[in-house]
Amino acid sequence: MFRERKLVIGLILAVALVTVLNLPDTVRTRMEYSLREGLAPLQSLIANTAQTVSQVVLLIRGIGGMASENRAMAAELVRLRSEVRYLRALEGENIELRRQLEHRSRLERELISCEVIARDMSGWWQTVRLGKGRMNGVNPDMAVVTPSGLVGRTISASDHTSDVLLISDPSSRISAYIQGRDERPVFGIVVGQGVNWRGEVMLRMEFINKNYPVNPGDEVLTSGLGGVFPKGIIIGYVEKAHRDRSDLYQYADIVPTADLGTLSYVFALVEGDDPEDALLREHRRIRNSVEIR
Amino acid sequence: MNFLVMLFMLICSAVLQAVAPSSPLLGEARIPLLLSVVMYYGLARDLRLMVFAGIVGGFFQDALGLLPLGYSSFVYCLVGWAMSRFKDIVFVHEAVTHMLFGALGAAAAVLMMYGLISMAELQAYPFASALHKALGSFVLGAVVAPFVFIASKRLDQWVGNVQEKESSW
Repeated sequence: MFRERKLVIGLILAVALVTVLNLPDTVRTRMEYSLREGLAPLQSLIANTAQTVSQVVLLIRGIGGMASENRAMAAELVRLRSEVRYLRALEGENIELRRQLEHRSRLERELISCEVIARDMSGWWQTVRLGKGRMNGVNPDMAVVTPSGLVGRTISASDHTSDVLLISDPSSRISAYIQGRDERPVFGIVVGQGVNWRGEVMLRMEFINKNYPVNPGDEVLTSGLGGVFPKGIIIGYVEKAHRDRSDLYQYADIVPTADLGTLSYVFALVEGDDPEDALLREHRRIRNSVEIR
Repeated sequence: MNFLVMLFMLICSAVLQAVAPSSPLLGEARIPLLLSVVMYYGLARDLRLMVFAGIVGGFFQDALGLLPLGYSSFVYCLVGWAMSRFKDIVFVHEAVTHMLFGALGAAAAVLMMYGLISMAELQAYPFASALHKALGSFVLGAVVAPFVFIASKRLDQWVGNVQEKESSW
């Protein structure tokens, strides 16, 4: 009798497992979002606590060198103030020239600051979870940046959380260009290569014109093609260029400017009202809905 | 009460696993906390509880990551079942048994997941990196599993789910 009962329970659980494996997309998404929403406050709490602890540790370790650090920072402040004054003058000049040319600025984009509350649970993807979602204006397919450079793009969003695919993930592809010493830019695709055993993020720019002179230290920026990433966000610098095996192209190892290993706060870029962007967004939406069907 | 304790352990493990950092030296392997809870139920409790923990734990892992729902449940149940099959193998020191089971279970789970991900073409992941991750999980499993086993066992004893002598190990 006891064995029979165990068998029945075992069978019920096996059926439950098969059901979970074959849930319809809508039910699966709803379940995933509910769980994400439910656990987000806990994850946020733990992330905050960890950050506070690390700040306290840094504070305790830095007490000895505080005086000298203070002096260095005061000097840095003076330098930055003079730089800001200079840049303000340049900005005014830039605005005036744009106004005269009737050219609309593409850089006026709203930034949403987001806290990183978790990393990918499984370890198979290079993703982070942000503590803001649709309710805060963070939607899928938004560029995510730090002051140092590009971090990735949002791939999904629930009401209060969103997932960001980092540029280091092997499935990440970004249309980019190299702004070298030659004024003429050259285009290519930046592909994530994961993280090596030293913890260094590896990126590669592929399909670069083989005749273009690519030099170490050249800046790599987003091209704006593809619709997700606005033009001109810095991705990184060229470390080394290689000739492709086919000899048709060259590829380059890229060092990202953003520190992807220690992200705690990032910014999601709200898409502007650029008609080109809107058109591409609509095109993507239609394409995605066709793919889902 | 069994299910409440299990849920508590799984939720705590899921949150900690998502927040804990990973090391590139260990192939970016995540700390196998959820799997350790499932392994505890496979080793120390009955099969029914293990399967339930496997399904729920796997559901947590998949819902909080990018894996399709059900992949981790399948892998966890398989590892938990293997644990329950071989739980009679006990070394002189209990801690050594826990370490070995934790290490082998975590490494096996990574390799199984790699197989599933490759078959479904979800991610282009080199085999060498997967092997590196499995080795990392082996180390992490050996370190983490004994603590999770002890914590789960103590919690179960504390709430009266198991008696002192009822433990399988």
